[in-house]
Amino acid sequence: MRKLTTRWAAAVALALPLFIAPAGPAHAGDAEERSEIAVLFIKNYSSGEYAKLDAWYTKALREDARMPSGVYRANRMVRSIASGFGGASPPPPCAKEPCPRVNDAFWVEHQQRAQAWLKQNPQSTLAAMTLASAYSKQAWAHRGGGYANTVRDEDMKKFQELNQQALRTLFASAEYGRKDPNWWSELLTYAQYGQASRQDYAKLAQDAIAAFPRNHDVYFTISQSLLPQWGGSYKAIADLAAQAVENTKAEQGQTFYARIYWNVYYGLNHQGAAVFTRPDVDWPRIRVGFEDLVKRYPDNYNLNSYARMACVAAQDKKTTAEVLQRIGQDVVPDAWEGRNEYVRCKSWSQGNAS
Amino acid sequence: MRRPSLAVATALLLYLGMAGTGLAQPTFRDYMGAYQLLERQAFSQVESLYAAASEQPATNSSRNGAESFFSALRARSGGVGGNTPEATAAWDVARQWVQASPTSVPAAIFLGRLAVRDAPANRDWAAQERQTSEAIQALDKVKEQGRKDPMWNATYIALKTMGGATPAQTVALVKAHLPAMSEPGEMFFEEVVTALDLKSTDALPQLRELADMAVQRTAKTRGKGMHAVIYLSAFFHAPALRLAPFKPGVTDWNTMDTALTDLVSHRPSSTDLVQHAAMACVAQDRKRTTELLGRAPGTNGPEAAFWRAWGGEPFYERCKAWAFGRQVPA
Repeated sequence: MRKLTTRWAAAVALALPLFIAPAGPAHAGDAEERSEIAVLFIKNYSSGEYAKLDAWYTKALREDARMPSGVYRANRMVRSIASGFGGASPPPPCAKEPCPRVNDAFWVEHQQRAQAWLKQNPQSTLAAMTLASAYSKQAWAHRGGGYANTVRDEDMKKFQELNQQALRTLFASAEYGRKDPNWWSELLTYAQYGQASRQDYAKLAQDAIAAFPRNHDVYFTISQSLLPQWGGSYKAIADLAAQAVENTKAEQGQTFYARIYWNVYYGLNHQGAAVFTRPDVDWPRIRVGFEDLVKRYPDNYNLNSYARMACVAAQDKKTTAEVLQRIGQDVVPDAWEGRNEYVRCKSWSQGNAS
Repeated sequence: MRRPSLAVATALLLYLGMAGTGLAQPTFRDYMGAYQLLERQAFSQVESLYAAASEQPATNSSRNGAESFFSALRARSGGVGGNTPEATAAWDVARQWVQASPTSVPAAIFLGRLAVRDAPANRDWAAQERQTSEAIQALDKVKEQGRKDPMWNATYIALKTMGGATPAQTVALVKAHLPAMSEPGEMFFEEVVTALDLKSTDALPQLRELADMAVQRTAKTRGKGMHAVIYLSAFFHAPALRLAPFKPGVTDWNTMDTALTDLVSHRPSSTDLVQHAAMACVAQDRKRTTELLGRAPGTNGPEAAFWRAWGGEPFYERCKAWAFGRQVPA
């Protein structure tokens, strides 16, 4: 396998800030470490030094290593896979217009690289997840990011086929993968994209929880499939959050209740920002979860995000004021939509605004 | 930096010579040259150009002269802004202009618009606050001359709301400023919608209040057209509203149908025809959908992006099949 060109690597490095943003909430307190992990993946993946990646990943997994905000380091590496691809399909060079919409050759090249890595180390779940991700990203390039009703039938078919291929890739590495929470998490993602039946998905989800009942990333992935727009419901999300707390309360108290709703908020807020004011969302319980979370992981990003959720999502004036007071001068701009939002929340919570 | 062509310079000189005579109308090309004039510190020329621009109504475009003037300045001074050398250099240009012409309304507006533009990318909130204060101060200095100018008002309101105004406070500001100013164009109301920060505030009641105020203020010239301008802008900022635009609390089809008809009759626009046809289809008004699809461009031209916002080619085909009575594809 040839090495990727310097020009390509430079382009990836330039594009990095665009693609290291997590699917769920970002953690500014962890920003430096998150960037380092992404750079580590890009550097070693592009130079073919897969053994280094496997060693780093295995160690992080074995030690259950966390970042200051409490999220797992190994999971950050998995989330960095996309940055190794440059995050998107570049426009293809072609001899005559119109050029094809998707540069399949680009994705095939990455699939071949990941296959070579997997051949070199058949026990590497990181390699299997990289290969699966290359299939799934190609699938998304065909589908596009619009609502399902905006996708042409042939593109949707291709999307499902490629995600099925991603699923098959992960199943092929099940012997080692089933010991890795991120493998389960990725499996659940592609099962959803590949349109597994609700029954099959529910069974898979319970298997994943049984395998890793204390890993929040597994719950995060399942919670995405429970969004109303994916055929789920608010009740299903509440049930999952309650189950997660039941499974983790000995070590994590009520934190998972907050973590799950915080993670799922960005999939719920398109119908209105004040999601946590709904009668089928238990804000007092989420609030207790946040209190527990900031006690166990007193990262400023966690505290700022708690204040933001209390203000924007729950419209809880008293809690917003209390948490903002605790934040004091330690405002983390990345936790807010902008200074405007922060000032509005502050002013509103102090009773200076209607 | 490219220098303006001789033809443009000649046209501008000709125009300046005829300013106020009613014989010359500046064009967008002239406005695009304004930033270069500012770089050369030809401030009075730019101020004359703005004076003429302010007299230009919106006829064939959604932008009137003053709005076009500032759109062009923005394009030439670093576009969307952020931490680019062009955007940073624009601050020096604007400050020099304000310093050289402390009573110039467009100078203060330009500085203010840079502050509004560059704020979202600036994670240094202390610096952002300083820039906002500087811009508000400049606008305050020309308040008496500026209060009639919708662009002065739009910029002032945007800067004030950046200090954490609630939607109710934003609408109250508009209510307070609207009577004194000359008739605002579409950009004024679009910018107020931006200031409402819909994604974070759920400000649908205030959006409705704003739309009612806008229609009342512009009814003589625009009919209900501004209602459409405001909701189209809201759909841009909160795209999920397009999923159910006619649910209680958002808007209603009858008002929107009239508003879009008024809007397009005031200044023809193929993209607004697309929006109109798409909304007729969402409202399941078969008669109007048939009429509008007959006039609206399809999904192959430059208007494709507007169809995509509603659901792209599959949505367009479904609407066509439904409107013209063919079986809806599965």
